[in-house]
Amino acid sequence: MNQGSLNPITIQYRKAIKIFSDIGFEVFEGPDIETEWFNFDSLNVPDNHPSRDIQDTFWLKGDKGEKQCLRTHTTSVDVRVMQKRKPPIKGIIPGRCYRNEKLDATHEATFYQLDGFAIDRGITMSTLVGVLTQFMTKFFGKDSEIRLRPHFYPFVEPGMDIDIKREGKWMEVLGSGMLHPKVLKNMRLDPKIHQGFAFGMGFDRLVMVKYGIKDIRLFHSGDLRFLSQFKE
Amino acid sequence: MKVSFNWVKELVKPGKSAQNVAEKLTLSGAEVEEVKKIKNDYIFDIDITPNRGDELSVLGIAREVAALFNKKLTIPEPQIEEQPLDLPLRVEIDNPLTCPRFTYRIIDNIEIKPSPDWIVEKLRSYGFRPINNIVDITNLVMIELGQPMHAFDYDKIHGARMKIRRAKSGERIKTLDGVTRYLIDEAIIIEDDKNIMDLAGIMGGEASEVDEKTKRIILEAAVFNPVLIRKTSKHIGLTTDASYRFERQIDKEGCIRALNRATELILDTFGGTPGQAVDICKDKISPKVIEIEIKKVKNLLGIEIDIKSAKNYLERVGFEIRGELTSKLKVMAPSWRNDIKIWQDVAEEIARINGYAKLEQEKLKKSKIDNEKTTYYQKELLKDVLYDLGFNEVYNYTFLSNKDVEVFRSDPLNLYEVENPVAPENRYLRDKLSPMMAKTIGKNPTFESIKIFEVGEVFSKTDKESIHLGIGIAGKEYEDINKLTEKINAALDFDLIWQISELNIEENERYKIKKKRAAVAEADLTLFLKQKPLKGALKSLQGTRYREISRFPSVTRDIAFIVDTSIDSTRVSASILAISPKVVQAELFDEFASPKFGEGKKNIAYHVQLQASDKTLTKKEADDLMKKITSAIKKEFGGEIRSF
Repeated sequence: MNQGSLNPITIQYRKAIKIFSDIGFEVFEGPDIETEWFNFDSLNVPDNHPSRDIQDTFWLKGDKGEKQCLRTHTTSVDVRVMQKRKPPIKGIIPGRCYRNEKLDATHEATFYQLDGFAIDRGITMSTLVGVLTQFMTKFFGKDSEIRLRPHFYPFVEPGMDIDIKREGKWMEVLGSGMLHPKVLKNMRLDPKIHQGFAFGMGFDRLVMVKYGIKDIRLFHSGDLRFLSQFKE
Repeated sequence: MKVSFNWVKELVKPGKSAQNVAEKLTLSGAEVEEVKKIKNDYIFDIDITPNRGDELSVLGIAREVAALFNKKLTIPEPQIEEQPLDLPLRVEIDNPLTCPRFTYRIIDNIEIKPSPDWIVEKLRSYGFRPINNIVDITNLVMIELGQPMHAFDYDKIHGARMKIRRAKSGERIKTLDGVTRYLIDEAIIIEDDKNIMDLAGIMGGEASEVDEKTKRIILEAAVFNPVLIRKTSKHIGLTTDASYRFERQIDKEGCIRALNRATELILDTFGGTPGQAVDICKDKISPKVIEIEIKKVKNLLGIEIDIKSAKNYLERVGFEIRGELTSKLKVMAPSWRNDIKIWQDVAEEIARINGYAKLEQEKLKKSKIDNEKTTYYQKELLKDVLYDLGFNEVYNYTFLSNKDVEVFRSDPLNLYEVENPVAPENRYLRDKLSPMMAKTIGKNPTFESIKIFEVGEVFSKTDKESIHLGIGIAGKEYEDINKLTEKINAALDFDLIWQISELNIEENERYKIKKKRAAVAEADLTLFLKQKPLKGALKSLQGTRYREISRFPSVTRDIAFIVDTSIDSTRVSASILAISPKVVQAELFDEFASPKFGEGKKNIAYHVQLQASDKTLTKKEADDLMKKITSAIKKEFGGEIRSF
């Protein structure tokens, strides 16, 4: 009898990535160690702006050159990919991220995100809504109740959050929006011609909702009583 | 930020319930996280995003409510009967970029007293400690209008002169909290002929503090440079209600209103003689006109918007529309909306007031993609191979402690070091997976044998970032680690180069491993990921019914049935599991047919694990559960109990 198991994040990444692959999203990955420019400045998050405060960052000691950090989101890969590619493009990016947070049942300093972006002719905010609604129903089931809300992220304009209803309460699961002209410029594109969207989700939270896991620290616990449950 | 609904209603009458208003605010971008009923009021706890400094006040929220419900907003604009005062004061600003606007008024003949109850109550509901009438009123006006204010004791100003300038590095000031602060040259200070009196935009100084002897005050409402305030506040590690608002930018046209509002409250409640308001605005800011094309807005949002509604929405949030209503609108953002810079920002305002619920659901143009050639996919196929070999996948933290570095002989000079680790154990980034694998083995003392793996990043200054496969095994029935790595290589049909370490007694002790034997091994996957040798579909493993780990012990019972050979044993285990949430596991350990069971019959046997999440199961409770299982299997599959 096979006693093997996979981490629940691995399992649900596969499900989510398949949903996006099926509509033509390409999988990209990027480094955990990121430069300040890719992680922040390229995404319209300047050093002197309060929007930096949302993401407490682990910085790496360095002697010279550009400051390096542990990426605070996989959104940093969007601009990286576009240094080498041209539209039309649809990308999906899984990966580990880090934020300097106090650990408790709902906060982890090491966590996982799934980011995505698409740049092509005819892509609008309504395409974004269509793609993400489709994702949510495929991931959580047909009768999932969701709602859209304006939200601020420096790298998009307009910005949008998606909530899902769980046990009578709304829970934020997805941040998104239309790529900000400054970000498009950093992607070496002309914002007058190109338009696209980006989205990102805290994946641990999604996996917790999916299985009813109550403590985010379990994913890194190494506790086999937890991990060995995730199998055929 | 907390906002009182009653206070909002002093400025706008939405004609809707608190819950209704809270929901509408949330759906338009100001997320109300909680509505709490306190006496006859509702306190909203609102998550205000860093771009919306204008919403950090009762007025800001009232404006939003007025726009959303299309109601009239009434802002207090008190008229002050100013008196000629013979109290000279000269204010100098060395650079308008440091302080684009500075307004003040001297008020004579004041008396310092405790505030009346209504002010104390309002402040307390916002978590402010009442101090005295003057300080309390400046705080009250900040909460109401969003303009941070400060009051100086006029008689403590030397030479009747205030100079606003950048600090020189190393200068210091004792702030109102009694702390001496050493300044950087980004700090903004106000000085008189003798002292530094104020750490502008952050906290007042002791030297000019209003106290019980104060007879006349200088009431100040100014605008300070947001970047300088942010840098200083970060440097000295002090965020105040004032600095928080300045960083997020305040309404440049709101100073005089706040000055008059505070003056009015002082005169109405305590009396005094108000002097003339002085407005120093050297940095004339001409409002920016943004041109928006309705066609572009439609193309961005993907929905129909007509010019008339666009105009209506924008006017409701305070925009001014210049000129003709054509397909190209010239719009001017209100003075409080410092976040509006480009036409996309204007488009968001239109979408917001129109309602995000009205966005359509459009499909993407279909396209085909082959993700099998990605490194992601190869890593996943590799994980499936390990899964099939009976390994459990773990995710370990990517950090190492001094101890790990020592035991596994990493070169600290070749490691990346975190400048601000959460704990000393997280000082370095890992250059190998093995130390954390050993730690994870140690964390599982109740498992007789352990077989774990991880696919993850390792970091070193020479190799930067690479992906490793790590394995860890331990237990009584101990597979030879060398043979196991060969088995993995054979299954992959790829020669991974392994670094193997069998842990000695001392190392076992360090990682609290109680097993007799334990070993870890790891291999660099760089070449493997380049060659991408694996093919096929990924396992989906969607069937898990997750159970929380119970703190209470479990009971394991064995049970065996005689059933028709045609019956699928996995269906039987599913049925066993479905009996009760207390049935945690039903693991098949035996299945065979034999003539002694009769023609076409087989024996199936399961380990059944029983556990409750809230208590230890008694013998009787376990017996009852086993009885339920027996009768259910008999009913569903005609299974005869053989033993248990």
